[in-house]
Amino acid sequence: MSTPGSSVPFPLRLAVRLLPKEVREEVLGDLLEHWNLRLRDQHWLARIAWAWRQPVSTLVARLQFSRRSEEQQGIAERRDRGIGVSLLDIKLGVRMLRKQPMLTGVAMLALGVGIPVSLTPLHLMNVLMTPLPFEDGERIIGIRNWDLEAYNPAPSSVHDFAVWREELTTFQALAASRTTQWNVHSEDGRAEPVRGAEITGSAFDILRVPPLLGRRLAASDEVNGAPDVVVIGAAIWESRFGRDPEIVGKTIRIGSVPHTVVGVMPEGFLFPVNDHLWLPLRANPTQYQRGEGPNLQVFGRLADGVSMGQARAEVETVGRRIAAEYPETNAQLRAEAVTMQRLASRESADAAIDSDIPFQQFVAILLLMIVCGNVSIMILARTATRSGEIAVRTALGASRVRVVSQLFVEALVLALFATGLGLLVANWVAHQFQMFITGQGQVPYWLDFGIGPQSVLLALGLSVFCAGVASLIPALKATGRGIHSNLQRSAGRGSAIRFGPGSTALIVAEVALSVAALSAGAAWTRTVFEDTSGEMGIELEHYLSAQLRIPLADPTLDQAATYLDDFWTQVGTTQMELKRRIESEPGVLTVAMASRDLPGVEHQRSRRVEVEGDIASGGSQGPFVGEARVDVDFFRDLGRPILEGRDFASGDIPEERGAHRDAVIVNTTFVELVLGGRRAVGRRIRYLSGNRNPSPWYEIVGVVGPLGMNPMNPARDQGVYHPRGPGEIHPVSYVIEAGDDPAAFTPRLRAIAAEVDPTAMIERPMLLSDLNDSDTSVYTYLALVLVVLSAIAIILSAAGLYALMSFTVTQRTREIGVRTALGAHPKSIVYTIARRATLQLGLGVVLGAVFAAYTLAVMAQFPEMRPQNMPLVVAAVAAGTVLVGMLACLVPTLRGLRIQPTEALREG
Amino acid sequence: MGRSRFGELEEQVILALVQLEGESYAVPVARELARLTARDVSPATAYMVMRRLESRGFLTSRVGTSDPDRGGRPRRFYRVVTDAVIPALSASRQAMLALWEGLEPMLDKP
Repeated sequence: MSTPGSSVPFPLRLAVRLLPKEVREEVLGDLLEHWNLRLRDQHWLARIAWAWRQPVSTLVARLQFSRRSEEQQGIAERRDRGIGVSLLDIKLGVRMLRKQPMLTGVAMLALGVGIPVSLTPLHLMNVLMTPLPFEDGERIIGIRNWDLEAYNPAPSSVHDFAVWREELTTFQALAASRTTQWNVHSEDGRAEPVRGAEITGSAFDILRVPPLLGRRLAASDEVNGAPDVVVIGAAIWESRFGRDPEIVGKTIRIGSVPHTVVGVMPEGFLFPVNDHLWLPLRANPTQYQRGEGPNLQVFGRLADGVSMGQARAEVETVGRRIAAEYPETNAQLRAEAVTMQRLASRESADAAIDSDIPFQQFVAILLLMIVCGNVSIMILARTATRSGEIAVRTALGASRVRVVSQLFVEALVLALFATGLGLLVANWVAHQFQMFITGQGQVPYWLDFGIGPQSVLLALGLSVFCAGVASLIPALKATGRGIHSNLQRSAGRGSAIRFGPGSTALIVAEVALSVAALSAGAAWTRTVFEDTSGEMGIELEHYLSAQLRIPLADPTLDQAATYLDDFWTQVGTTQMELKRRIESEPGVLTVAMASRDLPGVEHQRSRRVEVEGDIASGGSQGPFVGEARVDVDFFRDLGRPILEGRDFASGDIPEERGAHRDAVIVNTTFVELVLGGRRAVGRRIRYLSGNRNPSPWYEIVGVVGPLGMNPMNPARDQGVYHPRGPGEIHPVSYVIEAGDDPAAFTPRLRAIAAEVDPTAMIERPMLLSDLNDSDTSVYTYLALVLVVLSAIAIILSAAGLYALMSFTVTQRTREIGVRTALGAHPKSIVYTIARRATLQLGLGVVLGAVFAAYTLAVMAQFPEMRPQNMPLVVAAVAAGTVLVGMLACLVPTLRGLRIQPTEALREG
Repeated sequence: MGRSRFGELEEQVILALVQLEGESYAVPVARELARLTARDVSPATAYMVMRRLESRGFLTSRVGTSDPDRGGRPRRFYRVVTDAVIPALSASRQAMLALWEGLEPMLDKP
């Protein structure tokens, strides 16, 4: 690698870089001599190993044997030995918090948000690893099939469950469940859908939760022909039965069947997901063809002394045998034992938690480092004003370690306060999040997102880390080489500390980021919160909407051939009958049926469209349009005139269910924006979806006026309506116009539905205007998060600018005083102080505006956005940022201008 | 002068220097330590130890010759300040012997 006099191996160069400058050449000479003479005959691997050991041993030697004068060392040792980090340091840290409230406020905001946010990935992992809240909850294990081809969990059939229950010996007991909804009828005739589970009696043994009243479900209840029984949850017992102590033995009608209540489960028990009713699971494998029947969630309790690994091995073995025996249904399936959390999250057993979270955590920590860099700038500016104090302390015998540790403790006090407050807020947010997702019914109730002791410990560890990062550079700079000249200048004339290019880059990047984020946030918020109800073409608050769902059972062998056809016929009949009954109710003006894509509701189905013969809209880059599926009589029922062409007719619906129907109606915005005002009727359109084949062609048969296709931006609500026949939309949504208070019609609607079909469930009955709000609530949350984050970014960059300016004034007090004494114009003094900060601010704003313009141009492609306002938004945000930046500069500049020459010169 | 006790490595470095006729530089000192104590000390460590001993008044130093094996870089030779080192080494040895008093037979046991 090296001959005498040739180039120096990199590790040796690195090693001497760790030493004081004045000794580097001599030490490098020694290392090279050793390398060239002593190691010449050794194996090259040994030479390389030796070379790479040098940086480490050099660093250790530097730390252990750095040159200090004997006196200094003696005093330092006495102090180090006696005190270390003392209570005094902590008191001083708290005093510093009070003394500089602005720095404290901004840094606490930054760290208080940054630390909890950056812990989110690890916190989620913690949540997903917490055992179930039952006795020995960690021994309750899920079993599932994993589809190796689709890379998804595959349904567990009754047949698989039967084999597992029969053959697996590593489990004490196995249970299965499936969650669903039923209409529960009250004695007063009300019928409301309630979430519940069909579950095997063994589940209650596995969970070891005793009932509050009566008994749990038992194996005997699962036999076909056994009496229909139900166990109810505490919430239903209270809301429907007023905590009736005699409830056991009474009957309630679930769907169309009366069930005897045999038990009440305690409050807070909602297993498996968020369920309030438990019916026996009657899944007899002989009733179904293999692979058919209900999809089950299977779980069990490990037998005593059996490890997870043993269970996993046995489950796989049995799974392989099933796959060999029934290749037509199980060939691509791998049976696996997984934690209940993974069973619920539907994640792969060998991915997700293990691979994604460390990466996300890494990114989060990187972001936190940016925040720390910012706090570091502020601390650096503060430290600069104290360099005289630090120099005096050093002269009085404080070692470098001592001074650094004091600055560290000050930062630590700040970080700990911030973390404490941040965790309180995070706990509240987690609680809200928990309520939100549990309400959605997709996430099991037993996943506890609250901040537990582990997350608190992690946050505390992270705050120590942040305090280290934020205080290290200021501390090293303050105690570095210039410390002795600081002593000479300790009366406040200046400091040897300099702001490096890193801090400049950080401030510029932050200003740019705040301009971009705030622009996007402002544009988005404007879109989300603007009241557009007047422009939608329909008065949403005059209409009640409700969804009708009819539960689909799993056909048994003898039903299989005709079940689905019968079911869809029944759905169609029920839908039409319910519509007829509602129409005949007094006070009801109109009833119309559609899919979930109701007027005034944010449409999930926004697709690119191509117009036949149009070159401009060809390829995959056609314009976005909304899409809604409506009953053939939808426009007639709502009294909407067809402006051009014709309305849908029953002839547009082919006999065969699901066959292509080519008639569509478009709205006037479609004609204007997509067709450029050309005649619409007779033209053909089709949908484009990325690389996949385009949809078949559709023919435009009519044009209607605006009907709330895009509530966020009615000016761009271009949309296409597709006709559907009775029973083709399921669940179907009703839009009912009923007097001044449509919401008051809800109980009557439920009663009529229960009369038409006892199993039919009325879901989400609410005003159309509220439905839209609840559908756009996710957007609202996003907008709020974006605004909060951009506000924090802008506060941070303003604080950075403020710190920089204060620092400049402190640094140049004497110069400013001399200039003032010599009669310099205030303008030139302001220029002296504000030049660097203004440059950073200007550069940041320009970069940010470019970035924002690009981001908004991308956002403007989506029909929800209102691009017409966007240049204005960017300009306003840029101006606002400049204003905030200038305000941040104002206080230090005024301080600079107030410096009296006599004062500055006396300090010199 | 301040403290007169040595750390273990400091004592070994001084003794190695004495073995090398009272004056040498980092590479031979490191080699001597390796030979006599089987301790793998980097020349950089030996250098830093001697530099600190110099600051404590136990050694003096001078810049010596160079050669191509060192890439033309100078050697720094350290010399033992006998008057300062001998009493300190003596005190250190006395302390060590006092601690070992009567304990030697223990070493002979299997």
